[in-house]
Amino acid sequence: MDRTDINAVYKPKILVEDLNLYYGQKQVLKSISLAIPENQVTAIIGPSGCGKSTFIRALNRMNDLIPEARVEGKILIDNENIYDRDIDLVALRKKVGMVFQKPNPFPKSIFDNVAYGLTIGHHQSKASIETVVEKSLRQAALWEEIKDRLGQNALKLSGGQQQRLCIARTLAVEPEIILFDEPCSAIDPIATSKVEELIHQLKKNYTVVIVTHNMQQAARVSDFTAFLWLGELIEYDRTDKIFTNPANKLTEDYITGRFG
Amino acid sequence: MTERTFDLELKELREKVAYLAGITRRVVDTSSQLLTEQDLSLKTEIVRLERESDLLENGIQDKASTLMARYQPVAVDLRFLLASMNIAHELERIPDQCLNLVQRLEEVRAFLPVKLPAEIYEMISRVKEMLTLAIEAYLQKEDRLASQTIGLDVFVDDLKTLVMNKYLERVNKKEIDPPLAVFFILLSRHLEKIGDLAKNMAEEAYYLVRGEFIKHLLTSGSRH
Repeated sequence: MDRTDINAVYKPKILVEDLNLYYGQKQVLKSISLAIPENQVTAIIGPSGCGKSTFIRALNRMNDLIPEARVEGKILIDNENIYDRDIDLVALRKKVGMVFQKPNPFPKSIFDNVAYGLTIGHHQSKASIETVVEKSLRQAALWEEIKDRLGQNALKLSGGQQQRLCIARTLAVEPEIILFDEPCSAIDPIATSKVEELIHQLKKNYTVVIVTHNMQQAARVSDFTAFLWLGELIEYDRTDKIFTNPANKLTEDYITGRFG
Repeated sequence: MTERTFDLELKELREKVAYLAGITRRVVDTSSQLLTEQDLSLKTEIVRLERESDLLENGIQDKASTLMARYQPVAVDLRFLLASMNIAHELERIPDQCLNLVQRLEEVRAFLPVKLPAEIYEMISRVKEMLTLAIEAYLQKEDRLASQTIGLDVFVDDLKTLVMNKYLERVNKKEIDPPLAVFFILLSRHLEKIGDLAKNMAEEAYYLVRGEFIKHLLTSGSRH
């Protein structure tokens, strides 16, 4: 399925146009073009080193933090190229939130973790912050478990709870897009199931992009799947098509575990 | 590199389906011998093989569902498991139709021996061919053989209609004993049903190879 096909049915939130990304002399992403639809979950799959994480980090310019990283091409979010010189990076990262592989709560209370983004450079009332914190924790399906201990140190939560706390922290600043970089690789199956269910719920209000090594997870949670190999986009299609009848032999070999 | 455990499991499943197909083929051959030679002593063997096919189908469904649960297959592996389960189900239904053929012959015992119409011989030959093609389409993953099977089904359907019209007309003209006419018509219906089951198997084989569902897309009027 090419970009035109997806655009015909879904409103694209992110348009990636001929994206090339280099770390020094090494080209990590090669001429990638795809349209990521709004309010859908798009999974990025591929073997280690194929450029999945680099790709997802390009979507909110996290690669800027790597000195030798260089980008060519465009990434349009709501028709605005995020690599334009005058882009406001703080506003971009607020709009495009990210949840990482390992839960990384701050060594603060549960409440302060979620409120953190609201308190930077903003002057919101305590009541308003409390409302957002509760709403975010509810959205992250964590509120019922921790509502009586908001003052407790977040590091005392279980791994799965910490990951949902990080999701709540991301939601608190009201992003439009949420990037998940292998969000379940460090948590147990029950917590994984909760995070996956949460991702299903989140797509009603957010555009979700998830990088995962877990093929079954991509099949379970996503609407679209992109398969990357050696920095190239090999196949991009509806997830049900990719996992029942992929068009490309390389994709089939990868998802059936016959790679290499 | 040694073969992966999952690939060995898939191979084992394929062998089980191939074995069931062999049993089904034997039931069809024995049933056609029973009809052509009008030898009801062959019923015992048909009943035995029918029971064996029931058990084999259970084993295939059990193994395939276990593999699904344990390996959560996708793409061609998923299609292979689904096709294997569905083909095993169709294979198991063919001996049931063969038992119907036996029963029909028993019902006209008083008239035996009777000369079978040429159309019935033709149908027997066609459904055997369909069965062989459908099984090979699955085992060899050959969509071309699947398409051939589906094409043959049209001829089998036409033969059934021919038998029905011909013998109803002969009953009306009082040229044949009605029980014999009914016997020939029912034989043609059971044989046509075996053809349908072989066609279903071919559609599953086509899905296995091409990943496209063609069931219900081809009408009986379409010619291949």
